[in-house]
Amino acid sequence: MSIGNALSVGLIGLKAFTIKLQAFMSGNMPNFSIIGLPDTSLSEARERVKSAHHALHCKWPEGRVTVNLSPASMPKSGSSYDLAIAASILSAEKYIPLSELENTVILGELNLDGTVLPIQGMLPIALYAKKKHFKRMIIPQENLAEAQLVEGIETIGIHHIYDLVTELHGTLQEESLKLIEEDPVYKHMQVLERNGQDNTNSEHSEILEDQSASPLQVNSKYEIGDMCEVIGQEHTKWALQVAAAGGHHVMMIGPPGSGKTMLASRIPSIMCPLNEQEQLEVASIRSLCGTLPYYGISDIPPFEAPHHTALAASLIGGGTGVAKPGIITRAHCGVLFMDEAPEFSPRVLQTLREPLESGHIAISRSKGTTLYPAKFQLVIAANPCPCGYAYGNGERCTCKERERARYFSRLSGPILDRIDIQMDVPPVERIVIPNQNNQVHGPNKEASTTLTSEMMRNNVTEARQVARTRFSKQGWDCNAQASGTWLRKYTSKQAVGLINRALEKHQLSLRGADRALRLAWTLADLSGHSSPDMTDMPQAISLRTRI
Amino acid sequence: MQKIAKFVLEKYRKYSEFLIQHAVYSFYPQCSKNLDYCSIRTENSSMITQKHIIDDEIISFDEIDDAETAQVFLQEKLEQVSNELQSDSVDSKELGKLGETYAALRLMQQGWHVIDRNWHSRQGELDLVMITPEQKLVFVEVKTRRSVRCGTPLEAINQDKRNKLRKAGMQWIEKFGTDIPRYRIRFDAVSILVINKYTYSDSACMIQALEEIDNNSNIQFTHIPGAF
Repeated sequence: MSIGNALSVGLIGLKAFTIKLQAFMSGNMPNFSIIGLPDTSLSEARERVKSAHHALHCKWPEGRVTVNLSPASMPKSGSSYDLAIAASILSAEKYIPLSELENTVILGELNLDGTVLPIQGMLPIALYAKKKHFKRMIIPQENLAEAQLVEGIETIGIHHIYDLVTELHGTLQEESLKLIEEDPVYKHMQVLERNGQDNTNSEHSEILEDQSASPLQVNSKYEIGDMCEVIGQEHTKWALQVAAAGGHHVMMIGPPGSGKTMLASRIPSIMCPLNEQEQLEVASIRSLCGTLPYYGISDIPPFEAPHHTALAASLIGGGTGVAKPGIITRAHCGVLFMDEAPEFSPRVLQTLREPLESGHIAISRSKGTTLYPAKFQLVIAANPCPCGYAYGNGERCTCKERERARYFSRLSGPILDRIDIQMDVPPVERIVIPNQNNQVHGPNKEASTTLTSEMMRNNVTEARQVARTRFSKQGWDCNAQASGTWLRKYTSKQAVGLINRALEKHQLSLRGADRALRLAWTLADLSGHSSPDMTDMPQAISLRTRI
Repeated sequence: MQKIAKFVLEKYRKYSEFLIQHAVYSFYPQCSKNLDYCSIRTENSSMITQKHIIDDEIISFDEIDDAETAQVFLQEKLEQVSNELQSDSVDSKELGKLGETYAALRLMQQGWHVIDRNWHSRQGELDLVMITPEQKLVFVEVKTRRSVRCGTPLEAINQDKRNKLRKAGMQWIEKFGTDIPRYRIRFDAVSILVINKYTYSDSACMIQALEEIDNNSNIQFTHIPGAF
């Protein structure tokens, strides 16, 4: 009859919570049960833990073993508690002193041969552990780089379950020790560890680290194209720059092949770099999705382009039990690009309404509600009609009028209401062959003709800064968040007069007028005016070509 | 009292029925006379009962007068059985039989009585039926193994086996002691693991298992009261 303890951290969505594990051993019929609302993958931990325990060359306790994961009312899932379960059992068997397990968070999945496998969502867990002032964390070696992004907590990476025993100053029998040392799996792990240490110690460590050892810090150069690769479309590029500066949602309408997709995929390269808080949020989401090792921590905003057959659950998040993050959450702080937007099912498009408004999404499932952040910039691309050629005089278009009307009716209403910039992307008339001047990189000459992403990004960052200082009292981040009342109040009478005139001529709808005013402020920020003047207003109106 | 004891003794030779009566008597605390008899039985009569249980099946001995000699005798017998258990020449059937005897002797040392052994019914076999010093009727399932290759002995008593044993136990009660109150009936499991170098594939586990045994034999005896 003995009790063992251990601590771990669980995740529901991005919300972490402490889990206290207790193992109870009693002399009874052999049985091993895990209680505390485990799901199937957690129940299977019994087999993994049992087998890994055998890898320590210790006898599995005879009799009944019960492991409780408290709070018992909270549903738990996943394999990240395997190591903690093993630790609680080992401490119940007195192999690990109980005092060592205090204030120590243990995380990791176990394989059958006792090796420790990485888990998902390490970053939010580490952030939580730091907030709760835990002394140290014992985690899989592969997660170490991720956890070390959080400072102020001791993190120990381990390869094998035996490392857990040694780190916690546990004692095994001599015979067991001897056998473990001879174990081929453990030997292999030790070789791995030694190699890892050698890399950090040796002189050319930095090169090695760049290539493989720590993928997190460096690998920020996952492929994003540059704006200057897009031929022509200077007007559209300029419009996208306005969108990035003001945080406005964009709709681009143009015939096939006009470069909408190319332009959209390059928006992250001109957006204001993420600040530290945003970087952590984005990295936490990626950590949860398991894509952090690929992207690493970077200040480039994420870019997500769902296919138009996407279902509502994949877009906003879903799944049984506890909902998993969807595409809009992965696009948090970045761009959600919906190509061929009218092809999306209307129901799916409608699900975007709440997150567009609130910047987060709450998904309720049988085992609880999860709240995910979803503050993204929406970029929609569409063809002018189903066949795609209804531009200019429309002579190539073969669509019937009714088809055309139905095509856009899916987008109408509340979604369009939230999209500030609605513009036409004209087809490119001729292929501009870059002349000699452009190929030789003379920044002075090039500046007048082709804008590079970097230049646009600098403009955007400056404009954002202006807006942020202006709205510092209100707590808004960009013009897109500003209230209409504020905008109308502080815009000069002359500028408002221009908009009124456009309204009278039916160039703008009332809604469009409000949006144009908002855009005018962003344009003023970009061109360095303190408030929109007579030059900004017509430009703003020109970004609302589709009423 | 002596008379009753004699009676029991005589009847017991004819097997069962009255012996059960004896067991049933001892279940009723209000029959103080019988209870008295039962509580002091360690000295005389109970040993006589034990004697004959053993006599019929395993041991032949002539005189046991008091508890002390009984204990000495049991100890001797136990050693003999445990030696037999540890010899390699025992085949699996004999091993089971020896294991049951070993379990019975170990429990007798704690003051238990054997009432019945290897009782068959269609549902299954009851290894041992015993009475505890607390006046409980206990069906003991004994599982003997020499290797844990196919799991520990206790793991072999799975749900199917338990259900069968419960049914068999109920039949036994229907036949011999319908008036035994149910709260005095219990099902125990005993695991006997004869440890040799083939028992564990892991030498560290073997050492660990041997360390856990308190008397320095190679037989691990685990008794689980109220196992199922």
